[in-house]
Amino acid sequence: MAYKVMVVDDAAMMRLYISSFLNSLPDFKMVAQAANGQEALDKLSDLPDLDLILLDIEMPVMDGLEFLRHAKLKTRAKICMLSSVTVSGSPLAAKARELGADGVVAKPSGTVSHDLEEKTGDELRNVMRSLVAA
Amino acid sequence: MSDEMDEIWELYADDGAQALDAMEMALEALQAGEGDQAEHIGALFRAVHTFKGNSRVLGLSTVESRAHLSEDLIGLVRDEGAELTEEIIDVLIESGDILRGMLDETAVTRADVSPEPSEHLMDRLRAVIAVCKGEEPPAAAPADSPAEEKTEDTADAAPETTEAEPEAEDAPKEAAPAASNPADNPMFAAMASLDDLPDPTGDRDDDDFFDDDHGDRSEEELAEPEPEPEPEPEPAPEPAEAAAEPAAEGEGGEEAGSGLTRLLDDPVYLKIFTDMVVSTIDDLSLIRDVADGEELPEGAFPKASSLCYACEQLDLTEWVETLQAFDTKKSDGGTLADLSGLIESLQKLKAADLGGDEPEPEAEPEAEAPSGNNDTLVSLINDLSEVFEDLQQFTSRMEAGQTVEAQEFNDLSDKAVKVVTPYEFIRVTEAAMNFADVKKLKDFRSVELKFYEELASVEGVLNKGGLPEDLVLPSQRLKNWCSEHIFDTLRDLRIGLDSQHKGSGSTWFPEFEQLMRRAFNASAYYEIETASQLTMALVDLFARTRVSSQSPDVILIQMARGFVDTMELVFDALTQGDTPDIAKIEALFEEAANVSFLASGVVTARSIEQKLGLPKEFHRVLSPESVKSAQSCIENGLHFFILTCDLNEDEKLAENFLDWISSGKAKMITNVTVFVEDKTIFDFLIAAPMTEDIVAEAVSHLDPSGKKLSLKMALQVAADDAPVAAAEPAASAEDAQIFASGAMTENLKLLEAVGEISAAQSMIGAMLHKASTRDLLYEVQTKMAEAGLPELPLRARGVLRGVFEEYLTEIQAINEAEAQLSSQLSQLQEESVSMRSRPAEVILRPMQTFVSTEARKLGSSAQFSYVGGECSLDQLVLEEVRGLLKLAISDRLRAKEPPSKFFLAIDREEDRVRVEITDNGKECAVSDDFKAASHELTRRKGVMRFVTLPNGGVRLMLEVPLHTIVLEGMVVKIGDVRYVLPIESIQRIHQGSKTVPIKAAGNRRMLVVDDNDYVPIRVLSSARTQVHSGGQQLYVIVRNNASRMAIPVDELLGQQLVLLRPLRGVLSMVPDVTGVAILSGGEIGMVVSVSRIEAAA
Repeated sequence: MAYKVMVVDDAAMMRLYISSFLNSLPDFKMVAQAANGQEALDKLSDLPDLDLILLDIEMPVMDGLEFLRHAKLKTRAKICMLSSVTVSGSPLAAKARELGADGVVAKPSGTVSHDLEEKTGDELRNVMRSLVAA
Repeated sequence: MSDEMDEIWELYADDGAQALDAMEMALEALQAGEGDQAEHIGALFRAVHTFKGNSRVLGLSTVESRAHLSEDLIGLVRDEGAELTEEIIDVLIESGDILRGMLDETAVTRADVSPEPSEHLMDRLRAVIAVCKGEEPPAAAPADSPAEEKTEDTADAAPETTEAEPEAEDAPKEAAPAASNPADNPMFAAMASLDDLPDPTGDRDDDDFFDDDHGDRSEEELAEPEPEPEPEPEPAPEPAEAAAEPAAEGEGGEEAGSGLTRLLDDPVYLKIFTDMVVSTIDDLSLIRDVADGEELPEGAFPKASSLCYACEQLDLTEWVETLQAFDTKKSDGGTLADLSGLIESLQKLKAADLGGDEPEPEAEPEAEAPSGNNDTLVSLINDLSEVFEDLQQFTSRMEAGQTVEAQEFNDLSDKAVKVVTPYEFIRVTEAAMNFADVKKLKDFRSVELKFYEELASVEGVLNKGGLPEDLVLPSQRLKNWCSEHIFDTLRDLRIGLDSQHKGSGSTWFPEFEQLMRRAFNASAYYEIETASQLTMALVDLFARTRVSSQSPDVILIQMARGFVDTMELVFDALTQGDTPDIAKIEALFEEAANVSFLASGVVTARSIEQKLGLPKEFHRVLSPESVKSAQSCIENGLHFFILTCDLNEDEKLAENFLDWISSGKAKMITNVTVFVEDKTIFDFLIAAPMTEDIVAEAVSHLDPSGKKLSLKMALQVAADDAPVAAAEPAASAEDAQIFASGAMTENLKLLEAVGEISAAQSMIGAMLHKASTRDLLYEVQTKMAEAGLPELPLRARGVLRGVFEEYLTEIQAINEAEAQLSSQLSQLQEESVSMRSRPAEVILRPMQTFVSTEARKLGSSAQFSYVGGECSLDQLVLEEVRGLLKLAISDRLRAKEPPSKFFLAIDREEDRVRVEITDNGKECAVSDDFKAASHELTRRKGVMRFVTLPNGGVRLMLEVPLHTIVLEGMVVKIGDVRYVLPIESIQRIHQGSKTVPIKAAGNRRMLVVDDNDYVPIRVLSSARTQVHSGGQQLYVIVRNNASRMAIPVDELLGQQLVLLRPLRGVLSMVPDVTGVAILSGGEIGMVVSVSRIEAAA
């Protein structure tokens, strides 16, 4: 059974890259995507068996941290920040941990990281697997 | 739901295949004229009927219509006395083949098939049916879609029904196919068991609710004539019976309204239909989400059409109208908004007609959650007042050593769960459940704090201010508790950090995180924002080591210790009512933000920002990878540009642009989101070899309009080569000692173990090589001759030679495997060394803060700058150097006239690290600690002393021997001794005899390498060799900085990676040699220090 994943990122190309990455993993399946936190929050009620959310931070309408606050009340799904502003130890990575992010991974080359799989694929895969296994 | 649908589709495929197999077998038997014809026809009817029913359930209208017409034909034979002709068998065989193809296709696509390819079958079936009825064969029908067929069916339903379903009136009950009972249909039976739903074999024949055909109806329903959707162009009108149909329906004892309303009352079919609706909504949502542009994707129509068909079967008028209205968009040119509208309408219909996925819990009136954020929060907190009292009471009792029984924890859990469940805050409820598992005080604290944390999360979302003043918020309870216990928390943290047996992060991290969260809340209690941020930054840094199941890096351990030390001082000051000094916390926070850069061996993001003059929005997205990439591009002389791109608006342009920057013509460093009103724009920082005008041209090729992609600015790389440190802000001045770190010593042991294994492996390799080169036959013959034995006969020699060659072949194979293993070991050894290495930056940058802080404490001021931060050194050496530097600088700052400026230069030589600190102070007396350290270092062949400079100022000369060095060396033999010369210092090998004495150098001999190229000859002090005068001599010419030396050797033995061990005790007096290494043959090699030879010369 594949774990169900929602991807929340305002960059359409980035959603494609993440989708492509998820397609390479037999144990994960993207079941939904959203371009901002509000859109993702609206979709949560229709996804009761969601396992994981990959969440960007800088997004219009509702950013990832605000979504994180609200989503923690509504879903059991693990939430992994996947953002260009969450370099390890950075203030925003710390803020995400404070708000209860289950995992934090930094995009390697900015908001649109075409080299996500090449440079961060192993780390992201490990984080995702450790989260859904927990 | 998805899993259930998967199973239903699998069942459809299996069940359908079985039905078609049965159809095929029956037709073969009928064709061959074997057995009981009536039995075969009955089996044939049941098979096709089952297949048709299953297809209908899944909304496969085209498949169902083909099966349906086939079934009608068989029904004429079975029930109407039509003669079974070859033509009928032939058309049914064709029908079976086509239905099998459709089954295969739909099982994969999970969607209905296109009707056109099988229209000829429909024509043929209609023609044969007409013949059976004694009618004129109809003209070939146009290729209608199922929807069109349905429309036609409706118009002609009454007359057709009477023709096609005679058993509706007079067929005996036993004529109903056996498969009509859902219990006999594996697909339905499995669905019922899968979903734990009521047995579909209940009081009524459920299959009929979806399959309203005559063949499998229950006794009661058999009395009801019903429309048979058969597309018959020219039906024989039978008005009397047709007119009777509505009456019959009414007379059938149905409940008021449509009989199909009753269908949805049945849990089995309600479940099936609900799943179908949910699946369709999911599919349509996904189609919408991945759609390009605003155009309505074609793929949405088949999904909607399938659902529409099912709704028609259920007579759900509103659903059908909604879906049919959407279908008109196919020709009207709909947009994505129409699809969104359909999804929304379906969701509303689902909510109205099908209800929620799960029945709503019957909440007790008093447990109803109020609406409104603040009201909800106040209500929740008030509802929990008893729980809070219990928690307080339990805490008091447990801290007093009293027992709290398991049942009491269970009761507490039940009470808390009952209160919080109606609020539907999932994680709060789960946290409340955990009270039932508490066994001891430590567990209780964890669960209690987790409960408060989850409540605080709720508070964080709901609290809009203006709450009653006397309301004690969960966050306040949490902070109070954490601040009261902060010294216990810090003590536990220290114990954890000092533990030598932390194991992997996955076992140690959870406790660490919990303690740090307590520290976070304590900091929040005192409103020390930076400390709160620092705790979470450290949690983040440690969490990342957890994923890789590694022990935390020594740098992290050191930072965390610094944090604990600092926080103890801060909280101590706060409890005493003093104002704490939080400068150190700020420095640690800065260090935490930069540690990933330093650990990656790159300078911090800020230095790159300054060098490129980057706009500030790039600050937050510069990762170690992008800094490294930018650094490399600066070194390669590339130009930097910022391009603005509206990626979300034009996917084609986005693809082309990303292809361009991935093609090697330009290199993307990073990019950042820029919000312009409600639009998301991206600024890309790229580096390229081309100039601004060429980049502008390339950009205009990609987007001729210039509206979505443009060159925003060209950046100038600052030519300033000033030390990076000068531009960096002050960092931390932590004092933590890390020599005792378990991780570091374990790493070192590991490295040494790898080195020893590698050396042993080399020895085995050498032995194998020796064994593989032996001429065993020659050795046998020689030994026999020596023993006076007669020579072996020719044939015996041939036999022996064969055996020996076989043996040697095996040895060579082992030898090759060993060579491969040896190579892997060498790689492992190099990686082990690399893992332990860090740039000197990690100790030098914090030294700036140390210097300024120490000077400030002593009433002066001082600045510290450095070069050589990129020098990579083993962690153990770095720590030793750090300690010695602090010691020396402290002494200098305590001088009567202390320096105000320090400048440090650090460099690594082959066996040591060399540091010089020059300052502008006056000479001072050194402390006892300095003397002790200097003495110890001298004993280890290091150096630590102050030198007064002639023009003023003082210089510290510091040389620290490297602890462990892996180096690639050339093994040479001089006399009987083997030496290892570092490969990186070897310039060339030379064999020659021409040497000349140089008078200016005291008649020392110079090797003449080429015309006008003279290299001084240096004989190793410990080597028993002499330069052969007049004869050919082998020289290894080595270089150290700008000078060269020719070392005469007797033999070159080969290249090898060795683990150098420093000489200890009396051996440390051996000149020219820096250490020893175990060589591949198991011998000991003396590792030569080129710098020492030069110094001795």
